[in-house]
Amino acid sequence: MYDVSIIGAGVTGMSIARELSRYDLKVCVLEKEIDIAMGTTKANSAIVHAGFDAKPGTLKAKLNAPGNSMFDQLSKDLDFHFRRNGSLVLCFDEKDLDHLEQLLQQGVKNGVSDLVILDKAALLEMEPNLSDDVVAALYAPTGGIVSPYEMAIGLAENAYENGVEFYFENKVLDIRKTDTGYTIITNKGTYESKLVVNAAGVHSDEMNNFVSSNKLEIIPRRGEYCVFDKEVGSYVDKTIFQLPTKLGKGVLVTPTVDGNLLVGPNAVDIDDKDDVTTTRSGLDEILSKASLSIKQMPSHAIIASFTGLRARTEADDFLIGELPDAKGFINAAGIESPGLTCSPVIGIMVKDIVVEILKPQEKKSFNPIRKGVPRFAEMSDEERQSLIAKNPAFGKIVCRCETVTEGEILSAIHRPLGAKTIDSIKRRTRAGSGRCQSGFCMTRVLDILSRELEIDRTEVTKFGGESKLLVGKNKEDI
Amino acid sequence: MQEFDLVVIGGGPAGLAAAVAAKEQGIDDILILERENKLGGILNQCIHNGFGLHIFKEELTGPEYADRFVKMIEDKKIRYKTNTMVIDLSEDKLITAVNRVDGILTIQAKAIILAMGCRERPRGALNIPGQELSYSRFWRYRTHYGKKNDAGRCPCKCSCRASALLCRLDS
Ligand SMILES: Cc1cc2nc3c(=O)[nH]c(=O)nc-3n(C[C@H](O)[C@H](O)[C@H](O)COP(=O)(O)OP(=O)(O)OC[C@H]3O[C@@H](n4cnc5c(N)ncnc54)[C@H](O)[C@@H]3O)c2cc1C
Ligand SMILES: Cc1cc2nc3c(=O)[nH]c(=O)nc-3n(C[C@H](O)[C@H](O)[C@H](O)COP(=O)(O)OP(=O)(O)OC[C@H]3O[C@@H](n4cnc5c(N)ncnc54)[C@H](O)[C@@H]3O)c2cc1C
Repeated sequence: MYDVSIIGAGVTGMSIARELSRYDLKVCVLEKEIDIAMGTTKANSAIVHAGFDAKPGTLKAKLNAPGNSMFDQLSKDLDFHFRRNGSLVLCFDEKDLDHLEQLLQQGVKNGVSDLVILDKAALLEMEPNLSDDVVAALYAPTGGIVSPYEMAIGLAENAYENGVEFYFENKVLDIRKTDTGYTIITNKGTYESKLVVNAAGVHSDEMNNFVSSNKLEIIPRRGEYCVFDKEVGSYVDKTIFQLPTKLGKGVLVTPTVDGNLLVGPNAVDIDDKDDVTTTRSGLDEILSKASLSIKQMPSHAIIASFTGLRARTEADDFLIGELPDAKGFINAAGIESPGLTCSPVIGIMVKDIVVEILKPQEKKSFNPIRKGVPRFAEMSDEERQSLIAKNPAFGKIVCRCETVTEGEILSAIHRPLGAKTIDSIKRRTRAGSGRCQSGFCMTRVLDILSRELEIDRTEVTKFGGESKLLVGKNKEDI
Repeated sequence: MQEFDLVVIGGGPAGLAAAVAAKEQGIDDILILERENKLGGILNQCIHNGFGLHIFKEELTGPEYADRFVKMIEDKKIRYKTNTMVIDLSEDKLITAVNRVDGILTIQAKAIILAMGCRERPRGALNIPGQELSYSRFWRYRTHYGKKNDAGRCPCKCSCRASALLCRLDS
């Protein structure tokens, strides 16, 4: 019997898991995929929003600025990449200046500090590659960028080290009320739990609807992106948003914490919660809209594109709390943007609800610190030398584009909740995320996975399930 | 720090031929740096024949052709390090490389020849929309829509690399 079962290993579920791991509780995470951060958490803008965007009074508005302020400490404790680069909302028309002012006032209401409106000259000095059509902008120095999957993995490893149990490839198929709590039925087995936390992202409506007569419906809203090579990664330094224009809601141009440039997203409602395809029209739309913000779109340097799905509900706000008609069932549903930014506070909110119900003891043994995979590319030559002396695997470069060593790949495999797939290695080490997009290193990473996990090469997958990479030996059945 | 008159970065056909030519012109102090575990570069994956017709007047496969050059390198006692990747190069010709045995190597060269070949650009660089499929799913799609093949096996039984075949199909 678990005290708490968390459904979903995205950044929401992992923030909750880590907060709960501070207490004497038996907690498990049920995740349908083979790894952490395989849903929306791996495909979004990765912005730690300042907090001026949301309508005052909503949960999104209340949680944003407090969430934002937790990132400095959290990224230190859990060793993930975060940078407070600041953000700008560009205004292209004198007529829209009062919109900019309204946005500033909204930010002040939401508790955002240091907001200021900059004129064109100040802007171009700050960001020389901005379009000459820009008139003014709202500058939010507290805006930041983060690696969302690194963050979720950091939270997960830390929760695991502090006692939370993880069950991957466990898809929740039904949840039933019992006398003592809930029975959760997955494709792998059944789990008894006093409390259930629903952090299932775009599928959180289905979890809710298993137990509540208050039905939810999530309509996934697609957002598409292009990723650019590091060659143009510092084309802008701040995250560049746009005020809505005649063409609708704007798209952003931002550096990423890893040094790439990211452009997107658009917004299209779709009906398939697993459909993360990109479309011609979508990619064209984001590139043309983003072109308004900067002098020249470096289209030659695109290396990849991807899609993320927003968990849109009718409420247009986060749905967090115990269900009135299903006691002990706690929703963290409809967590769309700025959900990544708010996740640390959502973790605390849900923890408070659980503590209120179960009144557990705090654990003295809780260790808030987690050390990530070493990053050879970011080390000095002295650090590299001493690491290789201890473990020669750090002298073998596997991913050339990102300078990732075999030592890092081994660390990603042999750590708490270690990597089992090519994509899991990629999200933990960046092997395969560079200019050639794994053209050279994929087969080598596959070899290492096969050797270390002691499985046949044909069993190694890209992201679990049927995503096998090799079908057999070449010409074996001639 | 080590010093060499000439450092050749890249042990593919271009680098090997350059090293041989330099030696023949009287430069003795040469080092070739190659990140793979053997010399030969891309030729090692060009398993078809047709190489060598001009220079050796013989029909050779890529690896065989490369071997001829490797033999010249050995005969001429040109030094080389494999499994060694160059990770930095300064304006005054200071090279930083890394391998398992030496760790971080710094080498001062009087001259450097860059012969690192090229890198493929990925499908993403073409900005082709669609969905990422794994290799085996790709073949299933391909055999479903194209040639029938019950084994779900590549119909042409070619030796293309898995990674090159991770494809995006329009949905
Ligand atoms: C286009 C886009 C841009 C965004 N940009 C930003 C931004 O810049 N800043 C920001 O703060 N926020 C942003 N967001 C929002 C942010 O990405 C999300 O709020 C956050 O990632 C949600 O995390 P989650 O854990 O709730 O959901 P997810 O990451 O989707 O996790 C849910 C998990 O539940 C699992 N699951 C689902 N069903 C089941 C089941 N039946 N059984 C078991 N497991 C199940 C899934 O596999 C998944 O791993 C953006 C979102 C999108 C789509
Ligand atoms: C499928 C295929 C078929 C082909 N068929 C033919 C054919 O029939 N006939 C023909 O003439 N040509 C053919 N070619 C082309 C031929 O293989 C190439 O032109 C040739 O290999 C290029 O030689 P290179 O020395 O310039 O580069 P490469 O062979 O790529 O060698 C460069 C070397 O530099 C090394 N290197 C790179 N960076 C570093 C670093 N930082 N540190 C250390 N080492 C480094 C690499 O590991 C590599 O070994 C074919 C190529 C391919 C891919």
